[in-house]
Amino acid sequence: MTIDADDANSFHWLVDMLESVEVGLVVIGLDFRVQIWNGFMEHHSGLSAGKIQGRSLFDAFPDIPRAWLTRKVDSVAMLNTRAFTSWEQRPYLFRFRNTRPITGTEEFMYQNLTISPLAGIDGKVEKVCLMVYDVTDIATSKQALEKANAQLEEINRNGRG
Amino acid sequence: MTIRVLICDDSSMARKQMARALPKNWKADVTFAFDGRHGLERLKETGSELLFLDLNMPEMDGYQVLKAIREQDLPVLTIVVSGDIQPEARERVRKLGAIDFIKKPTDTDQVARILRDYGFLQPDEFETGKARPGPTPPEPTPVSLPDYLQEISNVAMGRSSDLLARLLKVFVKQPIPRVEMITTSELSMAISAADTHTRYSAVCQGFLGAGIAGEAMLLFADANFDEMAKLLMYEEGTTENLQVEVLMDMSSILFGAFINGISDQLDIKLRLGHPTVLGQHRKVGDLLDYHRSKQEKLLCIEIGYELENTNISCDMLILLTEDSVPFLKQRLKYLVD
Repeated sequence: MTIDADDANSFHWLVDMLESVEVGLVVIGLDFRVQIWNGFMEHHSGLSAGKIQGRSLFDAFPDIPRAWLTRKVDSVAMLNTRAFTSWEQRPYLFRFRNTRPITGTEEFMYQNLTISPLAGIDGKVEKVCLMVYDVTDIATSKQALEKANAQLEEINRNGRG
Repeated sequence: MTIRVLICDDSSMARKQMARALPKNWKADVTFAFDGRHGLERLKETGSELLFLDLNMPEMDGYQVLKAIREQDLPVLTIVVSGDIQPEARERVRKLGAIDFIKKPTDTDQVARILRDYGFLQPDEFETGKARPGPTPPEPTPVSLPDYLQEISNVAMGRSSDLLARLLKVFVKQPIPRVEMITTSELSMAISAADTHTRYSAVCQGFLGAGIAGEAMLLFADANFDEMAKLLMYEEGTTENLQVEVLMDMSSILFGAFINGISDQLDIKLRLGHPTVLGQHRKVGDLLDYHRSKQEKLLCIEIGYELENTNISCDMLILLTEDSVPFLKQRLKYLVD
């Protein structure tokens, strides 16, 4: 992506886009204080960007696994490489309600997470960006499929016996 | 005075790159060797005074060549040229008597600087930033696509091993990447390390860019998980969660560094998608079988990583689609000529 740095207008719509994208975007410093919190995060958490800016992520969300996230962020900063986590290892980082509170089968939103290093001009990693993807549909259908498979196996076994 | 120089590397592309990186005005008589054993023979035949030595080679690797040179007291000074950038590798070759270390892909300025520092270059020969003109290296074999991919994989692998070594504080043994053209149905057979009894878990991650598309895949034998979790110092979580955790962490590091390494060398941008757990605790055949709906040719790069002093090994596969091949060939032409 290329943007004209002098063009205030393009900066405006760029921010607008980040605000409205269907992905949670959080920028934190290496001290875990929140610097950027986009629209997706505001809507799902009920916390406005103004309320959470400058606060530690762990204070705002006490149920976030501290040791786990710290280890991930540290290795991203040290190795300057992205890290991915899947709903299969941890269903969610932020406990958000299912986006479909009525027809959805699960209570909460399953999430995939990408942790991406953000380097300053000198190339040193100063912050990281957390990208939170809603994968509730994928997770529930995969689980339903596995359940169906297990039932089939069970029926097979009983049929033979 | 002309100095006798031997370049020993199993990759014809690497030999070519090394010969090109030598200073333009340098009076040197350059010969080549294609593996460690051949290198030792040529060394004795030619009486070379300076040896540029690769580390990952078939027959004898660079470490063994260094040992042989010391044992037989051969009058040659050795500079190691390798993609293995783990600090431990550098330390080991120095202990074995190498005078310096050049990181691949070879940088002309660094070569000139080292040659000057050790007095191989006279002031009138010193001219950096200029490649050696074409006719000098008497290199007979043209560079083929597999050879070229093997060499860039070798360099990219060095980068992922370095990250892994730093994170786990272990030494990662550098294998020789295997490159071959296979069909999708041969995929499970192509994985040399996989046997029919062992159960594996796998993660795959797609990548895309500049006309090149493919998938990176990491196969991890179930027996390795506990030891690996210990190395990574994971404490919390159930066994099942831990295993996905290990797979995801390993793939983030290995794929990320490897794909970046490839992108940098080809001077293109490759973008990795989000990784997917392909399956857990299954036979390799079953893991891959299910995904084999259409017949297609694949370019397969296989790298078997081993962690020293542990029982841990894992298999990384980089699979490129057939329609990526013309783009790769184009890049190759651009990079070699």
